[in-house]
Amino acid sequence: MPDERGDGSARWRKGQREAVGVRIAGRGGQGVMLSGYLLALAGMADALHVVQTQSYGPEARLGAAKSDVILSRDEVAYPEVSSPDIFLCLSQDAYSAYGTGVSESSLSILDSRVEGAPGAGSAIVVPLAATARDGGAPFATNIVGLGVLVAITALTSERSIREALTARIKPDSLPANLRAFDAGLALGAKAAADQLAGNGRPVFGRLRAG
Amino acid sequence: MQQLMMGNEACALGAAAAGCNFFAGYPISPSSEIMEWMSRLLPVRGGVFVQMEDEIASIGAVIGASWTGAKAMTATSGPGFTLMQENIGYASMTETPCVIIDAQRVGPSTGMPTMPAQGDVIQARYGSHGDRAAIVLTASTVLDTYTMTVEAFNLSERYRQPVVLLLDAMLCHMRENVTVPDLEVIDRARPASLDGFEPFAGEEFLAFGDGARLIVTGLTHDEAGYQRASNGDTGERMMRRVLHRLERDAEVITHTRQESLEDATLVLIAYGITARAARSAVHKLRAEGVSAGLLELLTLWPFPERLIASVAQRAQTLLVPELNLGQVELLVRAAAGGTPVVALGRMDGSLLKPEEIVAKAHEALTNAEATI
Amino acid sequence: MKSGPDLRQYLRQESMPNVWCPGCGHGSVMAALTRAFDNLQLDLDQTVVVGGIGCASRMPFFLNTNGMHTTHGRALAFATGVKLASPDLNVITVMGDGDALSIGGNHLIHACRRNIDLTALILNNGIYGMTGGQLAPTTPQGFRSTTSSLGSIEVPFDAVDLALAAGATYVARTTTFDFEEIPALIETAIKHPGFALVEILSQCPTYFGRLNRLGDGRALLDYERDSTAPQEEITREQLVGRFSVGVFREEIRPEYTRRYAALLERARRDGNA
Repeated sequence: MPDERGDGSARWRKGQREAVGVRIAGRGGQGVMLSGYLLALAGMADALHVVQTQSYGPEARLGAAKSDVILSRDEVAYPEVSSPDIFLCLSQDAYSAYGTGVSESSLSILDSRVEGAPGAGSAIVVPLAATARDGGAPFATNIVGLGVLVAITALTSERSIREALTARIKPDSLPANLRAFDAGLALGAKAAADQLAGNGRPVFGRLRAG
Repeated sequence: MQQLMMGNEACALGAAAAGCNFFAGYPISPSSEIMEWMSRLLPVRGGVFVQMEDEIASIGAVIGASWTGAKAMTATSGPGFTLMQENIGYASMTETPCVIIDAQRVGPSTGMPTMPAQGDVIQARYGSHGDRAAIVLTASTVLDTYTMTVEAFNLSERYRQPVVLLLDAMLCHMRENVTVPDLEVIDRARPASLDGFEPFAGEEFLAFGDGARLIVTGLTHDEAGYQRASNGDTGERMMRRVLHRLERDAEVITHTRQESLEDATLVLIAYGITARAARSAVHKLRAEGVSAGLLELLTLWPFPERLIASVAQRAQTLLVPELNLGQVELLVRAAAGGTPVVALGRMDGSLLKPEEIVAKAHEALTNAEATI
Repeated sequence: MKSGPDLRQYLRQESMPNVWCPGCGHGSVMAALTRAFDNLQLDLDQTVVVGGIGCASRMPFFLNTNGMHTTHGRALAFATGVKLASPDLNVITVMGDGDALSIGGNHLIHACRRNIDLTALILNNGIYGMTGGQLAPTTPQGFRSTTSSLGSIEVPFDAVDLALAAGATYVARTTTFDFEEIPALIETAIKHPGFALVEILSQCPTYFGRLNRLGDGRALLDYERDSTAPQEEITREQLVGRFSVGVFREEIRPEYTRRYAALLERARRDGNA
């Protein structure tokens, strides 16, 4: 029941993982800080322990930026994401800057405009920016990405993300963001079926378990 | 209620909960959000927020405000902390309660302004010229940042000394879920009577405008406040008095966390953000069958040398991971007796990873066996 | 000699004798300050005199008010904290020229800019007295000190120009030669609701007088007389090595602690954060 909230800890306990490190990366201005914050907020609502860190200073204002989130059923000791379990990448420059951080066990979720040699681990490629644009909310690529991430990994409940959006987004742009999240969920479900079926990649499989 | 809170925000909220009603500061990474938060928190609570012209002015204004009875704080980072040192010494000399937050970043000089370090430990204790009493705290979680800020105020009010809280760039900008605790708040004691009251004789504090005409000076002075700049006995007596105050209550001031120390042959001594990696390393080592334990220091000064001496007696090796090139290691070495102390330091703006600590632990254990 | 009020009540007998050399002008300024206290009937319990470091900055020890003797150059920073945290206190800073214009120059211009209700007395003797006669930022060109034995090539600061440019709302200059004028200027400065600066040229016979062969304290008063002129009687071109005296500005602009009180009122009403 991925949409039950407040059960994150119990749900996770059924699976094998104790903590998952997520890296969300994009161009400065694409809202990676916000999406990392929303993911952490949703994880907290699902009774998980969360640690969220992000690029800071000039790095966050120019060029590529990242936001890391650790979601854990126990208290998080080491606070950094050394190599992300999930790498959600919204832009080419962010891929160049942070794509090298992935490992064999990573799952990358890449915007379809990102080009370059595939990194380690498995990857799915989805039109995040195009989906946001087609939905009339070109500013919400980050939220589409969040939808894809939740659809594929079920790291948090959908409801907690919607509540986080409602709590943090200004009322006049909330409907567009909620639509972007739904579009991301649909995009993620389809991509999972198309690109990951039978793939058997452990990260994906384990996180879906339970 | 749980909140997703950034370290700097937790610090500001802790200050507000402790009754801080005066903040003076100057922008500097990575502490600036503390100042931004205080600028929003204080006016609605009737407190004073002022952005000063530099860090020297900030700590000056904080000390001035404290002498009117305000609970005053400033927040800065390495370069600003260095600029403040003369006036921190003044606060110590004049027994002025106040709180200084230092968000450590990589130095020396401008260094790496947004990257974490733990290079200000010795400066926090000895940065001001001369010998003085000092209370220095640190924190390893966002919740700690809140509680240790409250504790910094409590100790400064209780002991009439400036209290430094050492944070770091990572902790300052990190968010964690926090359930804000309800903590006891201590306010400075006022004299029961002005009759024969001497403003520098004890722990009672009288402010400007409270009925006496005080003299406050950074010159060596006696219990009444009169300068005795040519009288060495007075200066040493006055400073030993304050040192004694802290030694007397060292047990109360010294906060630690101890994990798996009972049977530990390898003890990690860590503090601040590095304590988290050390905790993780202890778990990994235990899983491998190594009897590792953790002593996390939340109070750095007064330094818990007796506790470390007793831990060292039971252990075979002490390992001190820290984000500097051996500042606390030096102190541990002095307290450890004959027990070998292994250092693991770095100052490149990266955190120490649990795996690196584990590897160093194995190396240390191998070397220890080789020497037996 | 006319009989006046007993001004000894304004002095802290326990701190006497003071540290100033025979012939030093600073005692005259302190005497003038006590006259101002008396004329204003100032509540000494509610008055804080803040000094930095230097001969002039020792004055808090000798006055029967609250006294804060701080660090070199920082008197105005400490005083800003005192005043902001407790705006009902009368806060007076006493600084030397090195204190206020060299090491503390940044605090001076920012206190002027804020227009915070402090009284700042700068006792300018053109030299560092406490440390033994070194060059000050006010030493006139060509004058000798222990660090300018061939005569200073530095361009001195003019405290009045600086304060005017930085936004102080009461600015005056006088000399210890004009002793009788000082109390009224200080009184006005204390009453002035804003940042009030009074520069007083004061004599240092021990160093300034001796190193420049100008004679004793008495002779230095003549030097003060001869090197100053009322502002309306002197042109800018004539000001090299000389000083204009008088009240250069007296105007009312919004004062900092009152602006802060208004901000508190707004915050209370809006109640956010």
